[in-house]
Amino acid sequence: MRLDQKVALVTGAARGLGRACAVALAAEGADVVLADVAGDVPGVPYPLGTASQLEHTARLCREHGVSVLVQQVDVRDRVRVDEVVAAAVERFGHLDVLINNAGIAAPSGRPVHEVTEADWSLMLDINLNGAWRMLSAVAPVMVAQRAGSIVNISSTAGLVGYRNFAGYVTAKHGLIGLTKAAALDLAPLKVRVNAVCPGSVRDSDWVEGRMLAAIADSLGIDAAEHEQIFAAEQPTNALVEPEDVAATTVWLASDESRQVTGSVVTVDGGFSTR
Amino acid sequence: MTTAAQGTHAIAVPVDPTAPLSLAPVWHETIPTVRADALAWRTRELRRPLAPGQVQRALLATYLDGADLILTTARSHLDSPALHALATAQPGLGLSGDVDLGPLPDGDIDAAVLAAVAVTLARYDGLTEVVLAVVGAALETVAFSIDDDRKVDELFARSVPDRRAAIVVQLDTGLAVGADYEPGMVTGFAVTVQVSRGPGDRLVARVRSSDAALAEMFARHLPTVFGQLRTARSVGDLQLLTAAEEAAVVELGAGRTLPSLRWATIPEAIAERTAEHPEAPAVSFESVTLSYRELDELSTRVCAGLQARGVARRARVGVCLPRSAELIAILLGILKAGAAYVPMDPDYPADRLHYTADDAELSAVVTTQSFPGHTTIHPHDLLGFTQKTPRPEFGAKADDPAYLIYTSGSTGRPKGVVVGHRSVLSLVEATRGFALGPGDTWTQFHSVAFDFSVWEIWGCLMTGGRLVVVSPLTARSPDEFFALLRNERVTVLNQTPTAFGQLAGDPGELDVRLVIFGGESLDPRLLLGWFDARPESVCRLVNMFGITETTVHVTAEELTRHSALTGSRAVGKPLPGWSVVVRDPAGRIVPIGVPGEIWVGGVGVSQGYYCRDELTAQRFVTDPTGQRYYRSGDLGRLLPDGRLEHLGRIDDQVSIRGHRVELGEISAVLLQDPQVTAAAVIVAGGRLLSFVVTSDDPLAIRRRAAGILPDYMLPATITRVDQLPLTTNGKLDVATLAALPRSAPVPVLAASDGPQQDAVQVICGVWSELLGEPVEPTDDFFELGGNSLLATKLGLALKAAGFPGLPVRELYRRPTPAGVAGYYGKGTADPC
Ligand SMILES: NC(=O)c1ccc[n+]([C@@H]2O[C@H](COP(=O)([O-])OP(=O)(O)OC[C@H]3O[C@@H](n4cnc5c(N)ncnc54)[C@H](O)[C@@H]3O)[C@@H](O)[C@H]2O)c1
Repeated sequence: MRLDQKVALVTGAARGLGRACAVALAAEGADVVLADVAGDVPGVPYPLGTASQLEHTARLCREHGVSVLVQQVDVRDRVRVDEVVAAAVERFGHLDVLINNAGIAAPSGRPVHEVTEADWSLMLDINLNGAWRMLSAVAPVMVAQRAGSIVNISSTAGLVGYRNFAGYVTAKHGLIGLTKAAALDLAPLKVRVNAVCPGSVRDSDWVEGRMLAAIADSLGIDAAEHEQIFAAEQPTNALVEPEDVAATTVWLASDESRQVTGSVVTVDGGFSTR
Repeated sequence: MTTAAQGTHAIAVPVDPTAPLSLAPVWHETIPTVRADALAWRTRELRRPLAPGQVQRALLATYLDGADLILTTARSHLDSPALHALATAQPGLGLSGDVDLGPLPDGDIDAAVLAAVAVTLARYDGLTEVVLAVVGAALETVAFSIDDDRKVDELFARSVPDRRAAIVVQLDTGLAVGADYEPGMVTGFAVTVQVSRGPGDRLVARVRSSDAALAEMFARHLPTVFGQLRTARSVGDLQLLTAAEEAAVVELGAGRTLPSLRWATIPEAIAERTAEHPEAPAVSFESVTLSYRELDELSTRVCAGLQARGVARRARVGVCLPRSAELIAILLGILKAGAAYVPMDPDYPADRLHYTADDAELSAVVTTQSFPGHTTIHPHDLLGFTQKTPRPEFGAKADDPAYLIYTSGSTGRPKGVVVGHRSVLSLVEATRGFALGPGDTWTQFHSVAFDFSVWEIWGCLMTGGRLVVVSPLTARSPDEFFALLRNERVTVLNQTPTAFGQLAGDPGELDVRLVIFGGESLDPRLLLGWFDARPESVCRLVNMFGITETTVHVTAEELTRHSALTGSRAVGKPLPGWSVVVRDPAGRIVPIGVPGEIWVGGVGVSQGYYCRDELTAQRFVTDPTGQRYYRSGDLGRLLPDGRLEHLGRIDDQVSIRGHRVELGEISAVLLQDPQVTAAAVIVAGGRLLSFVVTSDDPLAIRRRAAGILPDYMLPATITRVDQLPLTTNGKLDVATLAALPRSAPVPVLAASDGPQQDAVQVICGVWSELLGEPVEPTDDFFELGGNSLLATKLGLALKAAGFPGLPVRELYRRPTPAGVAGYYGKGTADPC
């Protein structure tokens, strides 16, 4: 399989894209470390992943016959981040792939000059600093191995602006900057860093995604119709599936992409090209 | 835009062996099965939420109008790509290898092949009429009447040109595969059976289906049936399964062997617990707690008191008392005396109680009420019995009845199910995997007259736990019951899904480590919230299918987030000592995966109905191998891994306008509506009636359901109720619902008054011009190929026809001509 003998750490693995990525990595033979806050974070206005969801991701991965290490961690917590990386290395002896996926979409919904200090800090601390924290903890392991692939899950919001989402857009643009800078630093040391920019991903039952429903809700659109409306905005007239993002991640994690670093791969049905 | 040119043609290769061999099709013909808007329609069908574990339809969406084969592939096994593949319907995912049908038969070869296909198909779905599309010398749709009494050579095909078939049989019996040509497969059918001539003048079949397992199964059974055509006398004699396959199915449905029992009777098992921890609490109710020692002493007095009044071994003693700790001592005392208890809930109507007392021929009733014609004993006379008798004789034997519980079926008078000690002991032995023990606190939530309490009471006391008796008032109040669970630190909770769903509070505050569901079918999707608060690693949830006649439980299924996400209807494997087998109405064992009646065998099968020999003989049957079964009247199927899937009561399968409908599926869709907190669907007078708990307008709910359910599944009425009525056993009270005043029936088409009806016709005309095809009032714009560009054009065209503007968003909300007419007719109000 394409990822035999590799160990991949996925943050935000309880549900959504994180679950899709983790299962896809496991399906290609990678042992996985599943990290998630698995609890609510004060200031985030919607429920985050739960311990049960994280356990379920673990079960889905184990069904592929790989080893799984589950870690509850808030990517804002430096101490825990270091502990998780240490635990992964202790358990598996090496760490080859990091998927920086943990992220929040809100608090959002206000014009930039009305965003509070607290909301701004929270958004950047999770979506941007959290990814940097994970990267800085994992990179030394990879550098020592002279091998590794880091994938930052940005967004089309890392390429273009969205109204009333200044914090999110800033963090996701920042992730692309982080990707490029880290790619240069780490290229001579054989560690690759790339970004993936998903467009609107369909809420899929099996990953328990609900981002689109939540956005539809905030826009006052009937939940039953939201898919059609979102899809109509896509040049392909179809939404991105979690599996589409996961497949790109698998490719970036694998040695098939060994000459790919510092790249920004969009998986958005052509949305950002127009 | 999808046009009729795509996906609706059968493409066949030459049927005439002398014709030049060519890969190009020699004829095209439209097979009247696939709708013009197939893609959109299928996509919607495939995404339609299903009732828990609902399996059908996923593959056969194309054949809604008269499908004759309902494929049974679990939707949960289909991931996004598979769903997509199905939506775009490229059959050929599953293809059996060549299977040998045997030497060419005498006579009409094609007729024999068709008969074998028809019988096989009929057995998969209990059909009496089977429709096949036949691609032979001509393209033809034929029907077979299948009836067990018919002689095999009387099976004949009649042409039914206007019927639709789900299965196509490609008859190339004059051709040799490989040598002459490679067979083409007809697209657009769920199953294709292709029969041609193999080496040595034998017939060879290939079966293709988008479900590989189905293709494989069909390919296995077809030759078996074909081989018997010549010898079988009647259709009923044709066996689908070989003896070996039958044995394998029976084996798959058998639970593990039960270790030998350590005690003969319930009191013996409890005596052992008492000896171990005499001072441990056994039963509490409000401020009273009895230790095991106290329970033992009290029940011994009761026993002595009963014996002093002449109650002998195997007698039946009624108990009609409110719930209390002492009630448990009285039940145990009755068992110690070797008698069987007959629980009578004082909340039941007096008629029912007197009926029970008479029917069970009670020796005595322990009660404070009066039962004319029966000896009554006041509970104080037993509990306070002081006469210094020698230690009473403990009379019971393992096969003596322990209790008689009255159940009322859908028809007839309530009947007393006689259950022996051995069955109850086996139940507790069979559930050792739950690691029940002295550390556990259980509730007795259910009335002693409901057999779920048998498990609660004796399961707890035989394993040394503490039983908290719940008063009926607390049991009826979700808040109070939650507080009790928290305060008493209950660890083992038994609930019907309906009662569990009403439990109010944050599960994170509880100590519950095991929840057992029983008594009703469970929709595991409702458990996601519970899992989020108490993950499976902290609290196990187990769904148990069971019946009073088989001693409370039969199977156990560990529920996980996976079950909740997939809405699995699996109820698990039989308990050790129990077994299940699924049979058709004629009593034939059906293949794995095929639905039929669940028959339950093993140690839990009760002794029968008290003094109802005829009924007992009907429901409790012994098969030729000597195995005794209870015919449950429940519909189920065995999954390849040995788990049972429960598909509801056979009585709940209703036929509405010729379609087979399952009520649970409809209520599941209603429940999916965010405004609906509870929903039930019943059938009365051949119509579907639904009841919802909601603060929304039922018409709005119906409108949303109409976007999901096909017409024939849409309830005729949606009535708002404050809560769903429950029976004393905590199950849905269908009788009360049926008697409720209901909302007026809603016609299938959007209700339209005269002018609006005219508007609908005009709108249909405008659409039809724009889309270039005929349009009905209920056709969906987007399924007919409409897109946002066309939507804008439609707005302009409607304006040109004299209507006000139509915002595209409104079209998304109500994408049918009737819906748009409703929008125009009532301003912004909703149609319906
Ligand atoms: N769904 C989309 O349409 C979409 C589109 C573009 C980008 N993305 C990005 O993909 C990523 C995953 O999004 P999703 O849709 O799967 O969201 P999601 O909310 O379903 O999942 C995010 C997961 O991250 C976890 N998480 C959040 N904060 C955390 C923290 N501080 N520490 C550890 N874990 C934390 C959550 O518990 C949750 O399990 C995010 O970075 C998001 O910005 C999503």
